[in-house]
Amino acid sequence: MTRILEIADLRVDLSRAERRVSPVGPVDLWLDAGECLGIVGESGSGKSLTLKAILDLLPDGLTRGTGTQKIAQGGRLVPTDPRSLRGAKISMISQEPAAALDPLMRIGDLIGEIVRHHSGCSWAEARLRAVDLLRRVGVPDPETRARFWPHELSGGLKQRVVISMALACQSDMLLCDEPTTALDVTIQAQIVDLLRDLQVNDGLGLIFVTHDLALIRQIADRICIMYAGLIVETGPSSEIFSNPQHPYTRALLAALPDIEQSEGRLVPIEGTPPAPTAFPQGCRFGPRCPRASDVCRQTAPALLATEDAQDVKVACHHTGDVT
Amino acid sequence: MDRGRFIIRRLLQTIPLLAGIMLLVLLLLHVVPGDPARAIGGISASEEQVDQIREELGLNRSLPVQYVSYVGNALRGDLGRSTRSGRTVTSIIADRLAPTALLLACGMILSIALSSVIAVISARNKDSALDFALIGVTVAGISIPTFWAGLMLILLIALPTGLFPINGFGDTPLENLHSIVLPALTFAIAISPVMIRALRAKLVDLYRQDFVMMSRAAGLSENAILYRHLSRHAAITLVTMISVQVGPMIFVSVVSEKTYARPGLGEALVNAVSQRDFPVIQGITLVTALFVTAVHLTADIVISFLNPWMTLK
Ligand SMILES: Nc1ncnc2c1ncn2[C@@H]1O[C@H](COP(=O)(O)OP(=O)(O)OP(=O)(O)O)[C@@H](O)[C@H]1O
Ligand SMILES: [Mg+2]
Repeated sequence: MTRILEIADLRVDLSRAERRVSPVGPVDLWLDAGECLGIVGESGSGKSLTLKAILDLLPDGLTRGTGTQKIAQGGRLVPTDPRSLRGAKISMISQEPAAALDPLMRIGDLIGEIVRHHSGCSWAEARLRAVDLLRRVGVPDPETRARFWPHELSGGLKQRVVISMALACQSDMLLCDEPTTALDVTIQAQIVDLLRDLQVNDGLGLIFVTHDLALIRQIADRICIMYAGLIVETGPSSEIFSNPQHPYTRALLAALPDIEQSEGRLVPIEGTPPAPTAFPQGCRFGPRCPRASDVCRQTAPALLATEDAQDVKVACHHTGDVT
Repeated sequence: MDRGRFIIRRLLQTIPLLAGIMLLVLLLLHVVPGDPARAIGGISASEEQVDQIREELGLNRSLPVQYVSYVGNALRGDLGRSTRSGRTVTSIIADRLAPTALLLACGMILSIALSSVIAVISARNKDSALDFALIGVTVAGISIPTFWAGLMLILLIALPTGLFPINGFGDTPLENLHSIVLPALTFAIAISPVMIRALRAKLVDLYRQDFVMMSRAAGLSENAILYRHLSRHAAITLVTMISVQVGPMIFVSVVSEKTYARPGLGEALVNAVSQRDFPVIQGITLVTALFVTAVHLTADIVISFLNPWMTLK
């Protein structure tokens, strides 16, 4: 497997705080070509900020902390400015397809504009390519639809258009921020199939953020479990689901009535996740953790490989303890 | 609903509006307490003179009859005669139209250009020192009385440099344009601040939208986002602001004309009021109301072209 992205110490800081407050990080992430990395966590755990930080697209009031971000170039990993990756190496789709499309532009022009930006071709050619892209993402009757305004499309079609705009960039990686949350269940499945198809057949690397454990189990090769801005457990999807180590991961999976049924949604565990300004000392999950001891309240656990499975990493003082 | 139907409906709506406007203009004569003919003639006029005025203005006929004949005459371009000079109101308006139209046109163009540039700089540098400075200038602009701004331009620019005429309209097109510089600037100082605030707020809101972030994520440059996406949204805000601000614009142009002694409609109106020259007051009021109606109508039609979903409502 060739590694195409490697990020060390990714952090998101509040720009205007007296002391350093980091809603996210430090976090290490990497992605191999054609792989799907799933990021799971409760609402507010920092999943969206992590994705935005990769392209330095953070909203006002937040800044990307230093950290190195390397990208495969000519067979080597080279440190790269995150902004230069936008649309070139990495593109993105979001949770709200309705908000992601400029309401005052026709579908074909929205896609064509991006095609033109990346290829420098003529408008006429960009329009043809836009129609091709719409066809590629399964929009029926693409010639007609290219002349539609965004408000004339259903939610599922809007998300397909957003995906086609991301494909217009011809990048190697796609960041997906809960791309199916706003859609009906049947449409969700279609969009997931489409993304899966792009991953498997076109070799697109996916970083997929979601609440939906059943969904992540279905599509992710590797998983990061996030809690309060940090990765608490990471490893191959099969390992995490069959043998969860971190108490938080266990609680998440236990909250699933039956993970064989694909209805599994993330049910909140007792208590609420802390706000970034009130992260506790020591282990951030400590206050909600049934196993928390004195050491958990004092020092933050590092994310370390476990003894029995080298590719699984867990941030817990009690890893390996008998339960 | 498609755009064609929207435009036709909007045009039809203006017919009763125009009828109402003409009724109000006619009633202008009757809002004067007591006998309008006596009010026009003045205290020293004899009984015969007052009767003659009443006859000329048709005041001895019933109101519906007056209305029908007023509308009929107006549609033929006959707005009566000045009770002072005896000239037809239509010819007085025709004489005075050019300076006012030029002032409104140049003032509006200058206001739009100024507001767009300042609002974009402000929104792009939100919360920076530059943004605060520009907001400060804007607030100052809102609080300055128009006549005072006009006088300051005369005192600080026109008189020391001698570059610009401070009164009149000039005779050649070049002189006309030369004479418009300071009045148009006065106009823009009065009108731009409100536009800048609305535009800046709109742009700040737009910069927070998901589609802007997604355009950035796709690699589009800040300029491409501004010119190809945000400009369309901002244009709707601008046209709406022009439509809303048309009242203040007329007021400002009257003040500006008075300050720079320009022979325009505003100055003619002020003179007519002081001379109780009712036909002229009515005529200019009617033209102004028509202008306001036309601006509102045009703005709605322009917005229906800019905004693809508005016509659906
Ligand atoms: N603009 C901002 N300024 C300050 N704090 C922010 C900002 N945006 C988000 N946060 C904080 O960062 C934390 C993580 O937010 P983020 O949007 O990444 O969560 P998430 O995991 O994507 O949640 P969800 O599942 O609800 O989308 C939240 O606790 C939130 O309070
Ligand atoms: Mg989110």
